[in-house]
Amino acid sequence: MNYRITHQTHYEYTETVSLCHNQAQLSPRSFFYQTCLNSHIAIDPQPVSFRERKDFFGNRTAYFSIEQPHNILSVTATSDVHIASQTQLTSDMPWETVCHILKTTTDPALLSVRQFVLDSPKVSTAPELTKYAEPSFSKDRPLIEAVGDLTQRIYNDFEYVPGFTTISTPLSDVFKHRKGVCQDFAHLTIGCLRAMGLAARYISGYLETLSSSGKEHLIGADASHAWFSVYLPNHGWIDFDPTNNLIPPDQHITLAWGRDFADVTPLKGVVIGGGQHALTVSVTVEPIEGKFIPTQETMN
Amino acid sequence: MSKTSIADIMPEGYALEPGSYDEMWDPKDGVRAHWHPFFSAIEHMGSKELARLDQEARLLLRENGVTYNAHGDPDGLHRPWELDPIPLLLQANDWNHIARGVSQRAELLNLVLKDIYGPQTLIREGMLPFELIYNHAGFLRPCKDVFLPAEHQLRVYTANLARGPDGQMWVLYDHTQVPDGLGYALENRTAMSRIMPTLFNDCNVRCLGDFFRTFQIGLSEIAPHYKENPRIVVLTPGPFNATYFEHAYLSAYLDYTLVQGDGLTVRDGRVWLKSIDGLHPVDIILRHINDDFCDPLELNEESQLGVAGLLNAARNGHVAIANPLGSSVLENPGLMPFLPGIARHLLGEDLILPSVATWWCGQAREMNYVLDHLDRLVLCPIDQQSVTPRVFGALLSRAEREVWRDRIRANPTRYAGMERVSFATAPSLINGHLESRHTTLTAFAVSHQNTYEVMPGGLTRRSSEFVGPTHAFVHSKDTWVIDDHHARNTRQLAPTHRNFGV
Repeated sequence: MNYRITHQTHYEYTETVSLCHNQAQLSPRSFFYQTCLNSHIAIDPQPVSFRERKDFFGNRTAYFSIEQPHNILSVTATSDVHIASQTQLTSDMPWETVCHILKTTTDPALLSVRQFVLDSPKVSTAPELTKYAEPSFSKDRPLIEAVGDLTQRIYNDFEYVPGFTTISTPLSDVFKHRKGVCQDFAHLTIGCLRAMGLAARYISGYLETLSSSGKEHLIGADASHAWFSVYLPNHGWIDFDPTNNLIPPDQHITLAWGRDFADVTPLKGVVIGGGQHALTVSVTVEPIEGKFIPTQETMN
Repeated sequence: MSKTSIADIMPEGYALEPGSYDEMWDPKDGVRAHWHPFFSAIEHMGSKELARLDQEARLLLRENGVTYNAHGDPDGLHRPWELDPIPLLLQANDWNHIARGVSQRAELLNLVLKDIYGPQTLIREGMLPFELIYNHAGFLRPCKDVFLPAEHQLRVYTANLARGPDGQMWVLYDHTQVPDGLGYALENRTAMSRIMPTLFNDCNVRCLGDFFRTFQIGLSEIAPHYKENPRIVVLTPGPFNATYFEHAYLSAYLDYTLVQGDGLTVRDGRVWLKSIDGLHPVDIILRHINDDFCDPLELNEESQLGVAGLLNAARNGHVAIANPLGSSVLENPGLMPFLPGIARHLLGEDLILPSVATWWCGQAREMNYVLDHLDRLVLCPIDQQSVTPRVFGALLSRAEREVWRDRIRANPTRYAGMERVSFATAPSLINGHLESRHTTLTAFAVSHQNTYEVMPGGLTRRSSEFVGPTHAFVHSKDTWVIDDHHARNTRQLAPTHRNFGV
């Protein structure tokens, strides 16, 4: 499948901003089943310096500053992405085996995986998370099945309530009130998996706005979405979406991954001045038929 | 002035701490040889004169406004800096050994720092446990692959040292972010050379001027694009910071502009100093702000002290920061047990100065040792950023010990246990008399032409207990490195610059 994603962020300030510094992680990364065909970030007003690099986790990360007085900042990222169909994964490796491998490996190649077992700024393991996770992790249960079960339980036990939490709501509050949004559910499942000794990472991305063949609209489709990935030796990272209780087939477009939201904030900045601000974000994801040929317009 | 006797300055003798080494007094031979000139001089002065000098030191420091801001202290902000007029005297050979050890350790830590933010070979080869770095709050992922244009990334290194009962110096703590204590050491020396000018000259004390000159030249070496006469600023958290006085003092002495975060701005990818006549480009920042507070864009978003966009400017090589952001990863007691192996591996050398014995709980055997010996150890989180401060196991109640055991078991890689060592004593002036008091020594090394120069002296602090990095600046002393008379250097007689007459 090919998709075009348009992600617009619009800030309106009550007072003039004299200077702002920003970091954007708005261009999808490419990896084995996903190819970013092109990506362009349009910024108004014109930034003075715009520079893209790969961050610690390999995500495309852009820095830009706006050094002229402004009351409105508009950032529009337009990206075309190809996602190859994946075959259904089968593995009966027990979860304990995975933990054991992660704990005892001396394979340098697994270093980049092992970092996702550790606590991170927004996800700390806690006894309550272990306790919640344990029923899904019965003895010798295959990892995939156990994680699927945990995902399903979080889907059932937690209510999707936009606005109940903010990006700074601690995980313990989400756990206590059993309410949140995709980001909270991703953090929660990641915390449970890490508490069990597994490697789990946070994925920031998008969902196809209208699912093909007129099926029901998935939650989180009109904004940035978030889910998680768990590591299975010999296979790699396997995605799960606890907000929609499914293993993403080819409707999930990955933007970036990290230990948690703090590593992959799509857009953040520091402004001088500005007073109060109003923020609007809109995301559209449209399928593009056929083999993708870049047009003049998208190449600009 | 009448000739006074030893009984005048030590009426009750000089009581030694059992099992401790004393810097001045040898149990067999009495006053150690390198103390003789100093000791006879103060003996000659007598208790009254010493008390007068003590008073004079106090007045001079007050006049100069030397303070230390102790938060949570009854005296609150701007607590006066206390200087004991009896310096710590170190014999030249003894000192040279210490200095070689400090320089070697700086060299080693520099290589470790470069590796952690570079290829991570030490981790991949198993010389450094992965969790020890990745679980340390000072390992700042945005700083990966950001380097200064120099061999030495670590520009200033500070070692906390203490002498054990056998006379051997041990490293208690490594400071690799900001040069805490450097300004106070300088101020102490300035004050001492005024209070005891004759004595200072007669004792053949090594001067500090060359060291600070070396520091300045060395700092200029990291200028972006090898720029000549770079503009250097000292970045301070501001007047509410505990050690603000020394930021101001050091910047004035070195002739660098002292600036807070809001005095700098990043524009066009470069760092600029705001001033009434416009913006001036900044090439080098000597920082006194902790790593994660330096840039609210990429590091701690809550920070009001830093400069947004600073890390990006450093990444693109438009500004050089000393020490580089992320260097607090080395302020990690858990590293200590691994340093001897890394020293042999990278330098082909044994450590000249050993670290105080430390057990990192990330290893099962070491964790069990710590859990079984809580009452004998100093318990510390691997990073200062941790909300749990270091404690003496012995001072914990039974219930508190259990809390610590659970804490360590739940997250063993984040904790270490350190042996509680007994520090050497040195003479201090207490009510006009000499008495022995435990001391620690802070030594400073700076990079210059790919070698580490160690300040011939340092900041000695009276401290009876194993203290954290900057707390308890209660009483300090100047540190005199005493050369043999034949080694007397003529340059110290004729300082070339007013500032360097120390």
